[in-house]
Amino acid sequence: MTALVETGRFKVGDVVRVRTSPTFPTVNPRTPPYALGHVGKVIKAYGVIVNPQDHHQPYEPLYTLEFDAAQIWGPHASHVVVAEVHDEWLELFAQ
Amino acid sequence: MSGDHEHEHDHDHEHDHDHEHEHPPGHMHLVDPDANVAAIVADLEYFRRKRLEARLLYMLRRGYLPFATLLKAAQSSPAPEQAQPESDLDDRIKALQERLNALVTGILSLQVPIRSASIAIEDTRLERGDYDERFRLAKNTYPEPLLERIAVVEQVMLDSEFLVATAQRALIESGEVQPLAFDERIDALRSLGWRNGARIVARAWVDPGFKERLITQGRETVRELDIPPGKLGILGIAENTENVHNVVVCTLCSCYPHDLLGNPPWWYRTDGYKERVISDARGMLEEAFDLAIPAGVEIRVHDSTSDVRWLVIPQRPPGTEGLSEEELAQLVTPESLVGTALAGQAPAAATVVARGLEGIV
Repeated sequence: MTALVETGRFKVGDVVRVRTSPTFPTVNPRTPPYALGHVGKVIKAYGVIVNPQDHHQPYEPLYTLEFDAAQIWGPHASHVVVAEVHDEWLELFAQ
Repeated sequence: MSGDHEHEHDHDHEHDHDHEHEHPPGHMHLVDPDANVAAIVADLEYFRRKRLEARLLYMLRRGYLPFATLLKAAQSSPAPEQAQPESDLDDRIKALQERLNALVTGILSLQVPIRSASIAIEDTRLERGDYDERFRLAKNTYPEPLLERIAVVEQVMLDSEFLVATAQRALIESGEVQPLAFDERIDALRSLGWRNGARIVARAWVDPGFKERLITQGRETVRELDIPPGKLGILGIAENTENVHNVVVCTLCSCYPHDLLGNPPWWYRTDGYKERVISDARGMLEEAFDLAIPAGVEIRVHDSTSDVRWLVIPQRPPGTEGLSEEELAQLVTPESLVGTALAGQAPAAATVVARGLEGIV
């Protein structure tokens, strides 16, 4: 089931930083560790995804972010990382 | 800090693995028995610890499947005995691969709904220690000499088969599960598989309207092909073009649209794949998958979560204009659906993949 109900704090095009801890205690215990502290761009905003087969309580609104891999792993990394991150792990970096 | 759970180093993952779940075992030649057995061990331990025993422990802890219920069910069925192993080594290993396929289906059948509670995948992630190492189930040890190793695999296989059968019986006898539910789930699981993905891709190649609906409206679109869409979150669609090559991984666990495509290729769950592809996709594809992506083509690595599970639409190979949709579907491989091979191209041999993963798992 994938009903989208609630939109989050960010919109497509926003440049956001992944926080090293969530803004509040969260039922969603994870975000990719390599992305912590790094800056990415919102390329898709899903809102809240209701997915009871996977987890009982819906997680916070979800975004697809785009990261320059070289920023995280250095210049030998010549790809783009596309990762989904939930709202409570993000803060606005620039617009 | 969350997220540390994925650094679980499965040192037995770096080897060959020829038991692709849908290939008839009789058609394979086992060039490397050690690597094949190592791959069986990797899958057996993954499904035993992370799917089977973790789930049973969850049901035990919550009182849905008490020890006594399990023991009574075990007493009411004869203890299984090991069949006489095949004398030919290849046949013996192939028999194990077949048993593993059936065992995995049985383990996954235990995910049918039970009467007392709704169990989500997340419950099992907690129970199996994805977020807390203290909950991790111990790994079995397997002796080095090949024949001794195979004998232990056969015993663990037998024990796990017995556990699955006993748990099914216990859940039925305690009224948690309807008698036919496991058989129905097993039939449904057998209809899943990457060939669904091949059909989706072939339709997307020949019908731009379908592709557009798939990208904008998501998994419900596959009903047009009479494929059950599943309902595990959102199906992300990543389309390869002449300028972009997409690859899929799940660095946090092993999220994959398995309710649509069945189980991912064996290496998808290895730490070696996860750690290398996310940090050095171009090098990884070239070394482990014999896939050189031209410098001008952007590689995009999609890191799946439980809420968005990705499927790659590979590029339609050149020179295929005259082919039917069915013929086009034959060009799609499980590897091409996650972007570690091109469509119409033989995927790298498992031994090559294992070599590329070696040293980092």
